[in-house]
Amino acid sequence: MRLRAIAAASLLLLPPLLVLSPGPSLRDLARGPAPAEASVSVLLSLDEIVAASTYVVVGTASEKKSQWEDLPGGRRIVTYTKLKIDKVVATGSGAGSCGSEVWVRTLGGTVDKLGQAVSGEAQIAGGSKSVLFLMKRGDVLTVTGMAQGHYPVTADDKGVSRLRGSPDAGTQLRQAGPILAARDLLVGKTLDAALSSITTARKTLDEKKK
Amino acid sequence: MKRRSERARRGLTGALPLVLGLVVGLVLGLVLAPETASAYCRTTSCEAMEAAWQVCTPPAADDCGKVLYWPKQCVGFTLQKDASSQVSLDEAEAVFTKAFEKWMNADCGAGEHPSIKLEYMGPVECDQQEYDKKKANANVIMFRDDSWSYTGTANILALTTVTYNTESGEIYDADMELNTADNQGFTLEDEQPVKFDLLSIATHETGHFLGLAHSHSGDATMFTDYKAGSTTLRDLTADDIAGICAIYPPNEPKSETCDTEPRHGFSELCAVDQPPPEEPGCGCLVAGTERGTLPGLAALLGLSALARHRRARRRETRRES
Repeated sequence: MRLRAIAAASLLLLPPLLVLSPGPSLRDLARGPAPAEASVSVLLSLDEIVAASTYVVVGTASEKKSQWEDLPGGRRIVTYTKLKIDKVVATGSGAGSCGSEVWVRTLGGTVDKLGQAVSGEAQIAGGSKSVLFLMKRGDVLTVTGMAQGHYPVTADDKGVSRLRGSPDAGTQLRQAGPILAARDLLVGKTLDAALSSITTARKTLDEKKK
Repeated sequence: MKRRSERARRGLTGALPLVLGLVVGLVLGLVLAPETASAYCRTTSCEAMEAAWQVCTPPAADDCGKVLYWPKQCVGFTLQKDASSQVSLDEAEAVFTKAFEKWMNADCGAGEHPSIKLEYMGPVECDQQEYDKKKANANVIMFRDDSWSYTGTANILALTTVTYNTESGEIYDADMELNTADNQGFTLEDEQPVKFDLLSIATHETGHFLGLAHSHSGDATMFTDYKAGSTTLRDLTADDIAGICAIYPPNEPKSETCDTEPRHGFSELCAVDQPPPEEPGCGCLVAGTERGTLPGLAALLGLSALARHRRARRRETRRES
């Protein structure tokens, strides 16, 4: 009898609870945490992003400066972030040394009370440690795939360093077929495991070229 | 012992319809339950980050900054006249007009709509993403058929750049670039098979144009993930509608005329191709001889005071809502 009463009460109460409860829906929870912001991009696999990068590094951001700059698509605000290189994880074939400190250019920033928001760009916070996939063209280093090439490193509850998704990752479009995106492979991984995956991907690419 | 197990068996059999009902109820609850009513986020100007950020509803742990919004009720948008070999100008006009209409016609309740109107101002010559502090501007949507300007980002399909005042959050300009140089397969509404559905991309990007950031609601047009071949972002969800109605509340006093002129005026040309801006008559003020300068200045001050008053009222209304 008691069982019937509990079951009947549950039947009446559960659907409204599901409808009214605040917070993420079950569908959201099934998808995992959502990155915070923006553009529309095709998700890159780890092989693709490693192949496109001149360097993959672990670095700590220090100073930042924003300025107007003429780029091929127009005049826009860009931000240069100074990065102290903690470790060079992978270097593209034929690329020279990365150095111990580099400036990385990202789109957007603020200059004299004017701001530019560029959805989907890497947002490298001052003082933060990240794994960064960098591409060099001329003297300029940019983040490969914008936010898809930026993985902040933070300590979990047990003090283990893990990779997170870039806060402004943008709308990301999954490629057709069984391609595992770099983001899916790296986010949540320990720093050591992530670096090992990246090194292996680089080695495999180099061996294919031989 | 035998009687007890018999009773247990009968009890279970009796409870079976209820258990089944519970399962059905659970499944129905999951299927029919709407997504989280409010999970939208607004793009902000975050001073601490010295960058654009977001503020969400309900609040998120890393919320920061002043929300961005268009200060005028009428905003114009244009298309770069060459459009794309993948999408003609006529097709692009139809798609982007439709995308903006989805936001403008969102049902904020009681048949009311957001207090913002987007108007197409025709094709323009300018093919640059830019905002000029002294010359005329335009909010341009442009396809990049020849080359994509940003190194290492061939995977980007569309990029929206919003220029804003960091202190007030007022949006001054917004431009959208579509990467048709690196990506073939932008498809139109009735085209099959669907690859990169232009209307889905346009609806999402126009949400950013209007000041929305990414939502935490998995079904929202402003959510972050979306599958190639899908057309689901075309239609706004309750969460998207809550977001746009919060930025542009329907109870704002409506202006009678629709002034779509961008900041510092409108031009079809890029800043570099425009004549230099006229110098304000500051010398006349010093000399105090030029007729009409003082009345002109008074009118300017009056307009500026009126605009400040309207902005203050907007902010107040927003706080109250």
